[in-house]
Amino acid sequence: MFKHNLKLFLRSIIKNKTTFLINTIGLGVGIASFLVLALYVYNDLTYDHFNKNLENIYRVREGESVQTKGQLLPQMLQEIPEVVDGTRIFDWEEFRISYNDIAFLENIKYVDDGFFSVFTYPFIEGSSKNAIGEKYGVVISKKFAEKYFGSESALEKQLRIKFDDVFLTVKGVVDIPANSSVTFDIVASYETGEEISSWIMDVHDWYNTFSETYVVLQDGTKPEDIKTKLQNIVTENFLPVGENKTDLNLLPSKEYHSVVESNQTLIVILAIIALGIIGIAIVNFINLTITGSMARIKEIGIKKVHGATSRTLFQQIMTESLLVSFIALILGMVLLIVLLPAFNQLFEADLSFDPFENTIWLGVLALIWGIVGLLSGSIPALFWARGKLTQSLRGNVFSGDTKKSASRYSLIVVQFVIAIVLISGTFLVRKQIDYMLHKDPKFDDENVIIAQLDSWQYENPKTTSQNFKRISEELEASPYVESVSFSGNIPGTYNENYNVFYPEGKNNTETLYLRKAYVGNNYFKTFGIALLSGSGFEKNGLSHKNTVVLNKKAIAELGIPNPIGKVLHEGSESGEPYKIIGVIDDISYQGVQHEMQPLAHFYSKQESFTDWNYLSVKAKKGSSLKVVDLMKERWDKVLPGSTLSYFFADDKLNEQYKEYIKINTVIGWFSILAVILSCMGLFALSAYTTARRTKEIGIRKVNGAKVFQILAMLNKDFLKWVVFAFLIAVPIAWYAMQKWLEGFAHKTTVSWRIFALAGFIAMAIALLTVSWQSFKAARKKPVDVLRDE
Amino acid sequence: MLLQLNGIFKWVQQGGQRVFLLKDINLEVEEGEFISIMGPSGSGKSTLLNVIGMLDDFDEGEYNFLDEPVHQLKEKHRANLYKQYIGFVFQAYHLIDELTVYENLEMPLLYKKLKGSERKAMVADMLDRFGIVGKKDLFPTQLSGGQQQLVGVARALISKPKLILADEPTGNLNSKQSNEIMELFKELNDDGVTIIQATHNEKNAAYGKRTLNLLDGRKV
Repeated sequence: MFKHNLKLFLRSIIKNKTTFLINTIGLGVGIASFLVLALYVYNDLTYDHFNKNLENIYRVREGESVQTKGQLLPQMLQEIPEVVDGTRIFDWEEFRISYNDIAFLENIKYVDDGFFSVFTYPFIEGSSKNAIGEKYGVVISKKFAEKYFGSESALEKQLRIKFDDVFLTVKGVVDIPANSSVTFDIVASYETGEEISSWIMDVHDWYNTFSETYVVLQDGTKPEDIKTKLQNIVTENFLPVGENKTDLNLLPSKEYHSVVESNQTLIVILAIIALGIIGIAIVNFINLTITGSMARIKEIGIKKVHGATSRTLFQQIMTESLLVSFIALILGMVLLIVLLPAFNQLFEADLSFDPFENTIWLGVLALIWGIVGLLSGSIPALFWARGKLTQSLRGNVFSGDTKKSASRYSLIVVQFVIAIVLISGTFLVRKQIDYMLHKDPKFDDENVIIAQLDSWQYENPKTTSQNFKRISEELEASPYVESVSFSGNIPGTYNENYNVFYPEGKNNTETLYLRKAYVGNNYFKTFGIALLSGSGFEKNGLSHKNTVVLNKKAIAELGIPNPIGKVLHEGSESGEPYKIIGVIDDISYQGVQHEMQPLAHFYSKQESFTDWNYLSVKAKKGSSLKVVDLMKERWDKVLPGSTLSYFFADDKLNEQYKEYIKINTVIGWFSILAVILSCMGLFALSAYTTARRTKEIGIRKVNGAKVFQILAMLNKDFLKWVVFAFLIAVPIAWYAMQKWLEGFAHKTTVSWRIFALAGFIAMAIALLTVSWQSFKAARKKPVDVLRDE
Repeated sequence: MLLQLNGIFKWVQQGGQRVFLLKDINLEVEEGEFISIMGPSGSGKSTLLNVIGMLDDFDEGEYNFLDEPVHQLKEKHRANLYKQYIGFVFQAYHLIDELTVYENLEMPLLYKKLKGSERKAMVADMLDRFGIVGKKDLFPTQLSGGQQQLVGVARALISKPKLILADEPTGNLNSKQSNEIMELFKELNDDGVTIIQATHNEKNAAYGKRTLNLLDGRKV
């Protein structure tokens, strides 16, 4: 019997190739996209779960800031017995690290001994015991190990720091899970760090906040239990002693990712899209299967006459639906495996799908298979079993189920609502990105070419500095060049470096919180930044020592009508004084999604040019390319063996919009998917409806209706529902767009054109899908459809 | 006696009125009979055959089949009864397009849960008897109408029924094919199979030993 069913099944697939392909591919694509999104969401929800004592790990915060004072952790371990373990992470060092000829600029972190007992990374080589206990002993990540040592064992290998005779010894390699909040390339102990850079010792006091601090609490201890003890540490140690009111609090590590790092809205949206897509795909599949099984009602009638019971028929259809959904499931997994690398690249994610490693996915797959197989089997089975024998022998299944059509149409409406919301969302995100890209940055984004100096790669700082100086002077002398400037940052790379400033002669309470940037001669001139009043840091022989240039926003917060010549003290009332010499416009020094901040440019006269990060060159109008060539040539000549890495002034700024371009791509892809799935649903429904109405069409044609008129009649019914979907989609999309735009300091407007375009696209696609069916039906010869037997 | 119909009525409600499809039908059929039911379109021939074949129910009256009161039987029991004793032949043949001749013949046996070897023997026997061994691997669409109906009759016979119900068995056939099928029915009847056929062809009706005339659902 099974063999018989299988044979029938295969033959009916071959007979109805198109339907079968549409059906399985649709479900397969649906399953693949569901799994991709589900993997992403799952990955996000299980962040940091690899840590064995995750429940008890807390991140210490001073107020809202995760940067904490260097003395804090030793004090906590000493004073609070409930704090059983902990580690600081010092993440401010970056230098050249080499192994033989392999050299890269690397970020090194210094941590306490507790690091590997707080975070239980799996070790591939070495062990967590005393891994960094020895001075100059380091633990590296798997990626780092592969980069430097390939497939060789990394243990005991020596890594050279800068060009010095200082070597680090690899004591362990860890495989950092992709969903770990705390990651590193290379870690060493604080003792090692202090040996390499002695300045570290100076900033571990009760004022500076250079470390992140993690603690492990005793089982059963809650942060509230030690709250008073924490505040005691603040009162007794934080400066000014006794008066400091900093709120020292503990953020659970297991919440850290979801609260701070992850975009909760995005995760919720993705989860909804995932469930929506699999839901639509399943319902479509069931619908198409039912429509397909209608065509076989006669076969069922014949079988019943010849002795088939409901049970045997049920077995037959179950075999079929379980087989088809199994094929779709396999197809879905194949698609997933093919698409996952592309998705990973797009999202810079590291998702992997191995159901045998994580059995949760086996369960999910089985669940999908079960739901799809059982539902798509049992619903037609009901039809088959219930159908009146004499009716089914005539192939007649359409007796009296008009009520059900409302629920079928509502499904189409839901699908098109999703599609229209996603399409218009794609357009809006694109519009916002364009808006941000084209917003006037208030600096010259056409004629400025920036060279990244990458001083770390040169062995001798002294000669390198001279070479940089020489290049800059030669460039400045060129007739194509207007001016040049060294700086520590350029728009898009301004450091998160803030401090408090006290205006002289003003009341104590009115302090100014400024973001700081250090630049060299001619910075404003080179970048074409307009001075609203006063002067900048021109190369004019005057000393710019202890001067500052503020932006418009800072002046507004300061509230002084004529600020030029006023003095600010950094850190305290008696701190270093800076005289305000100029005011610049609010330039886009960071992505315009962020609020404009009060910004201060300080003049810095570097003794060594290797301490700068960038050399910016302003070309005369229309000579940019000549200047690029000139720069390349100079680099080749003066710094042989190095290649010039250069970009234009707004390139780094525009990189800040990468995140949104990613979101745009995802929504774009999923709206295409939603459209495809909706079309499948529409296809199934229109096939079903036109089949029901063939006789009516025949009668109308006999009575003089033209093909065009029949087409219009059939399409009108479907378009009505798409229009209805459009009306529901617009307010939903509008609300979602407003919500999304709230996150931007500078935002585009939600225009009616977005909706019009999305609606038009949905309508056009729906029309094409339906017409495919209705055109076939409308062209049928009336004699063929009106013949009764 | 094979079957007995007593005062059978069947109707449908149409516009608040009862429209009678069958009206007071009384019929007794002995084993070995060959009955032709005649009448114009819409006279109730097919309905009567469907009632006799238990494919359709009726609203009033008594129906005894091999001394079993069909009107009192449950659906399942009734189904077992017709599956065991009745074979059907249709005007449109009703072969399954996706199955070969061989598989179409085998299909009813599958539902009887016969062993593979038994099925093989019975199908081979039937193919042989109807002279269609050479066509066993063809699909219905590759056969002529007459050949298809031949397979239809063979399939009706394969489970060795006592009664064959044939609804316009030659309706879709030309006269030559038609004669062949009727000759076949005659032979079967000679072998002892009871046959009831519905037809509006006088010539075909003459093959029957007894003719029943229907008009508007009533015996005339």
